[in-house]
Amino acid sequence: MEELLREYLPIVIFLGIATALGVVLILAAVVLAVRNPDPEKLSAYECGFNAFDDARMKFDARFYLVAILFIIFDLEIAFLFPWAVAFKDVGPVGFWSMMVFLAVLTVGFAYEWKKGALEWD
Amino acid sequence: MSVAVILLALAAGAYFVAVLEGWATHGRLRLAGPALAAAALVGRESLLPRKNDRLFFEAGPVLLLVAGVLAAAVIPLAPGLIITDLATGALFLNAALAYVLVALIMAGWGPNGAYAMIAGWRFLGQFLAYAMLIVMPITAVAMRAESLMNTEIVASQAQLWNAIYQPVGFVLFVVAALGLAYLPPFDLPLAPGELAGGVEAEYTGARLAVIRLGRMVVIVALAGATVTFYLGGWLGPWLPGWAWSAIKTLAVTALMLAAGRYMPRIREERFLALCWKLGIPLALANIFIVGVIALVVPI
Repeated sequence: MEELLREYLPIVIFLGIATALGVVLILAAVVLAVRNPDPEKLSAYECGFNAFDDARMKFDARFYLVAILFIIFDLEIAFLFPWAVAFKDVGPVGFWSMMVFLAVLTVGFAYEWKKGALEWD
Repeated sequence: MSVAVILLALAAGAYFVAVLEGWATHGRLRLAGPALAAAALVGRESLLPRKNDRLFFEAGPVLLLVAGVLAAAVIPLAPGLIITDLATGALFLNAALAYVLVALIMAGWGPNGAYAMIAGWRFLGQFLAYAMLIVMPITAVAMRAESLMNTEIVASQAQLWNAIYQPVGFVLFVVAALGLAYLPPFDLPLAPGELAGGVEAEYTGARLAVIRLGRMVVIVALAGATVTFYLGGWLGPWLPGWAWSAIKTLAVTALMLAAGRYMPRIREERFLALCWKLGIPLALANIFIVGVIALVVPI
């Protein structure tokens, strides 16, 4: 536990420094910069006309199947990392069993591809 | 001590990126350019668009900066010259850089402008394309080093750099890094040509300065990661380790900035198709080949 804390404490400090840097820069502008807002200036940027609609509209997410595939592959990576770290310890048997796992995954991937999950339309 | 050194190196690197980018965009090499631009931005009016989502609008730029800085925290400049040498360093780098997506979606959603929103979703599409190609080559690197600790990954390349040992992984990683940092030819989330700055369109003044600084830091962190994983980190003859790290990182940064300048932009759905239909099979093959080589000739 203590080792974990010793490893991650610098990260926490660094996180603090980075956040402080960003916030200080933004707050500096409150002191330094002019402020003279008017409604036109504050409207969203469009090509010379007022926005027709709210920008946060519903839309057709074409890549949702890829997103699902992405989650599957991400899980696969979660299996790959511990295996990679112990690569030489598990030897040829470990290597080939992981290759079988990846082959099964590839079969699924090829099926998805064939079904058109990777197409935009 | 090393916190100050790394922060200084990061700042110098980010500044160098800004100078180079100015050179690539305007064709003039001005050393004072980024400092003047930053000073002008901080002094300029910071607008808060109507109908904004205040939390997302403010947090987006800061989160981008934080993601870049945290990624840099696990990159070794030399033995001992690292913020913290985590046992899971390579994975932590990945986790930190995943927040670039969150930051850009927040920046796109926050101001309620159509241009920013479209650019944010574009980056999401781009993320689905490049994300696997960041992680899968790292797996192959970890297989050789038998560790996720970044110093051990560098040490494992003493005899042969990973760029030569696993060139396919190297190329995939660099392309994915270009996508992550939305550098040309993958800079559609900014799209200076048609979305007037994309996620940056509604940002002005100091917030714009922070979002740009954050991107520069992300670029430097990615170049540092490329050097650590593939180009032998601090290893090299004659010069001290930190000098080699600095030289290599700056060279990779320059290469990343110059690479896409002469290519047409690639739309995110083309990028998706390219990465999933070509990149992922190649990345799987890379893992397989590296494994077979490591089993037959251990170097």
